[in-house]
Amino acid sequence: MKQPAANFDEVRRDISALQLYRNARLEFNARIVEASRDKSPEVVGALRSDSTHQLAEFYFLLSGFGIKSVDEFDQLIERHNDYVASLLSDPDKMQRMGLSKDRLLSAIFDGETRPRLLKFWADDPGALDQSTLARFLVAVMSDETARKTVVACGKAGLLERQNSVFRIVLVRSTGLLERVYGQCLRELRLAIQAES
Amino acid sequence: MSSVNLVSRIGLGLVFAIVATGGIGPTNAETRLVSNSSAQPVSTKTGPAPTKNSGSVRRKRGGPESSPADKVNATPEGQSDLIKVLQPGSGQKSK
Repeated sequence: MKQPAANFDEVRRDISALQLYRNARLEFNARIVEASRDKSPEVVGALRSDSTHQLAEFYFLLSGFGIKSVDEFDQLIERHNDYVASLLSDPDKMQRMGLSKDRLLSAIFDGETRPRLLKFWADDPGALDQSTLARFLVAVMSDETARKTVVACGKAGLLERQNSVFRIVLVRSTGLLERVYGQCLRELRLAIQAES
Repeated sequence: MSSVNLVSRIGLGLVFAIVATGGIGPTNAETRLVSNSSAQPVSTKTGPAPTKNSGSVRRKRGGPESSPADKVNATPEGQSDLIKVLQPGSGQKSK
């Protein structure tokens, strides 16, 4: 079917935008692997996965939204709990997202956990224990995937993993993940703008 | 018939009688296997077996638990929601 010339031009730009989007993801993978201090196939494979990209996006947003103070972090916990509670009252959405009731219940920060997290954040802004990180990512990856991704990023030198009291492992970003994510996203945005 | 022989015969007879009435043997073992087929694996740990929450909303200790069935793939919906949750002042609710 022949398309009108104007429409053909728009479709060409759409395809060009799609190529830029795909290239941005490839570029992210390439830069992260390049920066990795561990070039073993196991770690590199994990760094190229969707879960690493998702984790980078999480840290990029944490930084981009300026969540730094204890109050800001506490408000994030509140928003997260509200979100999980709203999911629990929406069985259709839970099913669409493949989330079980037990899993969501486990993702809530209760009165016992919350003060401890705020203390960690107060002592070291940006530091999260692994289970807390998994809770925040409840809607996008399983806790086991989160754990494996954090371990791989730790080996790569993108995250710092530190044993804390009560056998808790604290995780903090070195800044590289969100920086690379942000760079690739900006380059994509500017390239699409230039195309149009 | 000697007394030893007699005792042996009685003993054997008793064994056969028990087996025939199903006191011990494959039939009961099968029954136990069938009845246990839906039971949880026997734990070697001490303490009460974990049970699922029922009724009120209550969080389990120790954070999210993984299981073979706990396979969550990122959906566009979940990814979009995460952005909204992280955004200060968004008040993200399920839509």
